[in-house]
Amino acid sequence: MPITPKMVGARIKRREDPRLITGQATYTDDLQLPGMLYMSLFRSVYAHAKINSIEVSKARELPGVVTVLTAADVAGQTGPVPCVAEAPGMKLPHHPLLAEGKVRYVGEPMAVVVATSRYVARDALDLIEADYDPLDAVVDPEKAAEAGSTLLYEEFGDNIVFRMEVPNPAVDQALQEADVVVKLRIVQQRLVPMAMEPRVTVAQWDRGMKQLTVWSATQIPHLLRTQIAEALRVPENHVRVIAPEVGGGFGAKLNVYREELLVPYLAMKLGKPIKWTQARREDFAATIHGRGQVQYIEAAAKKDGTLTGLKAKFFLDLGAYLQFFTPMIPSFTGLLMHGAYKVPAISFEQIAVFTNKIATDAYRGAGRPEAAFIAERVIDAVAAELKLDPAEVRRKNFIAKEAFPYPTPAGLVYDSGDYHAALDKALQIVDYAALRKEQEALRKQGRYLGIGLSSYIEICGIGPSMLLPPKLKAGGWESSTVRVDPSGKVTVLTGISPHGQGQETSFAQMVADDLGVDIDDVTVVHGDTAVVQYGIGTFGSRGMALGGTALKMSLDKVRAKARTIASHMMETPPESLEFGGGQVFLKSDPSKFILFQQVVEAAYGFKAGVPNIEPGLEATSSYEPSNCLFPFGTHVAVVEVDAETGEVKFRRYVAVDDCGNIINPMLVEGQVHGGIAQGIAQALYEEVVYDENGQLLTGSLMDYAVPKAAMMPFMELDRTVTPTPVNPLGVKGVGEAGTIGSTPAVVNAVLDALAPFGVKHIDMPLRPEKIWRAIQEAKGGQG
Amino acid sequence: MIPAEFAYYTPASLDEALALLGQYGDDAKLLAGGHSLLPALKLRLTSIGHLIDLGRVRDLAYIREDKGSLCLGARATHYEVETSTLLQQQCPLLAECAGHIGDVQVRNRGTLGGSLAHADPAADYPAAILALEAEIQTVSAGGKRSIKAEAFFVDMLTTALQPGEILTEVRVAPRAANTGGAYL
Amino acid sequence: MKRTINLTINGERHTDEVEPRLLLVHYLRDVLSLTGTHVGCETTICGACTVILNGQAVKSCTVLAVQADGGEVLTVEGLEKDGKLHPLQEGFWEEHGLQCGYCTPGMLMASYQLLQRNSNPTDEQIRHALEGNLCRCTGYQHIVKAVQNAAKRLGAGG
Repeated sequence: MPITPKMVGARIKRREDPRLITGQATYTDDLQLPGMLYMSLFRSVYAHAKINSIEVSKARELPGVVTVLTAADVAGQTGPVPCVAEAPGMKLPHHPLLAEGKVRYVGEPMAVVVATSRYVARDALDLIEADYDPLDAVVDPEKAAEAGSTLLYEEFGDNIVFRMEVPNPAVDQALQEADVVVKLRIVQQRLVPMAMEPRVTVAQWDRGMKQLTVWSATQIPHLLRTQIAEALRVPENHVRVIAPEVGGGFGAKLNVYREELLVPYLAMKLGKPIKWTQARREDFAATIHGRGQVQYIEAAAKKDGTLTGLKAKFFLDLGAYLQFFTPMIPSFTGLLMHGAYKVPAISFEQIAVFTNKIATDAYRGAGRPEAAFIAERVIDAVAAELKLDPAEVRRKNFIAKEAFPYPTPAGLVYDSGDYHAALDKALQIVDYAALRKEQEALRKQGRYLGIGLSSYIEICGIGPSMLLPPKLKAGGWESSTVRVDPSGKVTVLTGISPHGQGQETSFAQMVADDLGVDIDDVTVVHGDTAVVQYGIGTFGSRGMALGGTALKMSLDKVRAKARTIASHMMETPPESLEFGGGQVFLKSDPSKFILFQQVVEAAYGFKAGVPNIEPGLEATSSYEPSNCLFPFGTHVAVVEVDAETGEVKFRRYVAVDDCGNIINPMLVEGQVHGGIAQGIAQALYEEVVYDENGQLLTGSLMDYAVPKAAMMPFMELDRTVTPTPVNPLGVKGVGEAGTIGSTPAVVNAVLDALAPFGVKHIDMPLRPEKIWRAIQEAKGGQG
Repeated sequence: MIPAEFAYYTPASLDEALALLGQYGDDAKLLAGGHSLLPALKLRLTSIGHLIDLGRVRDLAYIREDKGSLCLGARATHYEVETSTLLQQQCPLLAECAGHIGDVQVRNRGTLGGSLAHADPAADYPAAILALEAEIQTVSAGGKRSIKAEAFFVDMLTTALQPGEILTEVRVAPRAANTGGAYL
Repeated sequence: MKRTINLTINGERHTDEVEPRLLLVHYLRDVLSLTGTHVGCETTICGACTVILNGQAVKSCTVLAVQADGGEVLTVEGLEKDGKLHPLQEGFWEEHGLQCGYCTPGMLMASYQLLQRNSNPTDEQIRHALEGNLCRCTGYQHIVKAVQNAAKRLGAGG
């Protein structure tokens, strides 16, 4: 019997890495095309102002400057920046490529420069002068919703993008009849996604072929192609989008930005290749932000901790213009705010507002961290109120593993889960009982240990396609092609667009196992719309769950065809054959085999006379999921708070995650680590701050605290495995789970540490100063 | 990210540097490690016509003992201050302070003189220099002078350095017996 | 006015005429097409542009190319020797010390400096030594392991 180590499930080193660790990978800014020009943008210094005039003549005269354009030059030449998401009654403002009449956020592009070098393009910006009349800025989302607020769009009459209510009288009844009602006001501060690679776009127009090629640091090359074709009025089959090596996305590159339309527009207009590279300060001001919600929560519970109702009101800070998915992201928050818990009745209201800030949109977790935070804070608040153990309150309310598939009060169907198992495992790892004892002992010494739990769930792999908006012109499915070349080498073309997730490796593992070929003979290709069949992209933890399932479907087709050929050649029924070690062999007697290569040659040479097959060995598939996926887990943060300084020190961080079956555990660990880092960052460090004039005070890495290595705890990971019945791989997504699970664990831990002071709430991020102040105030309050 | 244009000079001696400073006056700035000035130029928070790079001026990068004082050349890097055995033994506060500046790459490149001349209140050195009652040595066309630390820092981003004056050395007294210091 | 600079980069001599304001990182990337060194910010924080200049790790976005005149530069492209990966590269690969790879060249060069100064660093020393380098993907844990892995390899003679 051929012996091949099984690849799926093994810690296979990444096949992406050799080019990345040697400096040979090609990111968008690495491209140099002959005759290339460079674009820069003149951006608003005001959050809200009427534009009287923009003086560009001096900039135009600068040697090396090719052109300088304002809205007057480009208005009407292209379609607007697209927002595909919709909400009932939503107001959709015109989103121009360059500001028209008014600017509505600091950093909004007002004029564009094209020059022969990066340096001249930058110099020209200093020669542009804008004359504006500053207006009052709308910054606070709650005030934005008030009547009489300054308006971003006079024509709309108010700043409300949409108001949506999902009422439920049973909730009000539950609140009335509750033994205890917990009320929380939670601020989900805005965050900067901060992919290490800023946004970059290059475009080239081939006049002869009427072919537009756009290289962009994007997570969604095909969706971007569709949008560019529409906005620039170029037939879509004459547009090619390439996502080269992409240096992280985290949702920020799941979008279509002004610059991604301006660069190809100018490349066509000028007939020269053009590059635009975003400076980091532009990234902070003019790439979407994440989160941005003010949440009012009321939870009803019985004396024993059983939740009976949950009510929420959300103020959603959407920003000045609506980006690709802006109005849709917060919808996950209400739907999932009861988390892993059986809450009989929920209701919520969303008040989405325009503010003088860059738009919010998908950032790692995208609506679910804001939901998990509610569920996990509510549980802890109820436990604190009733003086119950938060682990026990979780257990009391968990949806039981027998209850799956579980229809939720919000109308979702949770696929699978065993929430008790993850909690039990996490508590066992930290030795919860011993920790509680230690906490008690330390408190007597004036030391404040905190233990924070988070038994999160999330939603990912969003499908079926019905759940995605019609204007997307695509759905929640994903595609793949498996192509076996005449030489026997295998190429996978995937519609997802990985940018660090590692599917060049995990997909190759799947191919190696299913076709019995050497993993080194497999190449995974992605991110080029001229090469890969239409696909959707990488976001929402969908890569393996949807892209992997699509791959599995193509592999099944290739296997079936290869079996048919082999069965003809070996004169044995197809179902008696298996693949491995470069052979197709008889399951019952592996000594009887033919080489996989012989089958490939029969498929291409086509002389074996196999009936009812077409030549070649290749299959394409698209997978439409029947449901979303609901990963879950329990995170435990153990911290010690220094009451004198407010400093938080991690003692331990344990994460038990369940994302179903696993293809490559090493990659899963990497995803969880990175996710936790971003979740901890929201809990403790990061916050976008605009002042009352809408000036961005956290406009660079000097003012915005992206965690460094020494700010992160050592993470201890473990897992439970509850496969999903939704897809044949039994896999769920894992890209966002860490971010979703970690934030409430850390905040719960800090508040648990501060319980002796009576501190019940601190707005994130929990920086030492805020913690110290909360302690002082609580002490003062006690007199 | 991109500085505006400037003319660039690499004087080989302090005299040459002083002559250039005299020639270009307010429109000239001195460059040592560049870790205060270049970030400001890149963000175009400041612009200059003439950049005089002291990188080729020899013998400004020492740390030595001289007549009972510890003498630090203006171009001594933060890393050199941090790891100087002499300072670790005789003025550990300053070495400790240097170890807190920025990060490894910044300490490798940034200089004591550059940081002091920039007088950023958020910088690490000023507090230590004040506490140590250091003396700052300068040279100008008019000759040399010594400025006490307390007189050196005038305001945010403003020092007692006059136009045409170059900071050349910082002098501190070695730690006296039974004294200590810590940089927090 | 342009100036002529002479540099040795990854062992190769280069002579070019550059504007004085040209940043070393742009010289490497745009003039020499050594695009392994990345730019992640403009405020000397992120460390993606870290290279070794005259034996010391520096952020090449905060060094003028003319300042480096006459110097020796080592970039990520120069780590490999005779087709053999540097132990740090092996370590990062083995321990999954990278995801999107954008910060990686800077991380490698900062780690290179660390291991020159401390051949057997602790977890805490590694985290401290990498304070000038941001990573948004890994949460740093696998990077710490990668550096330890490399330290072991180097200790064992590569």
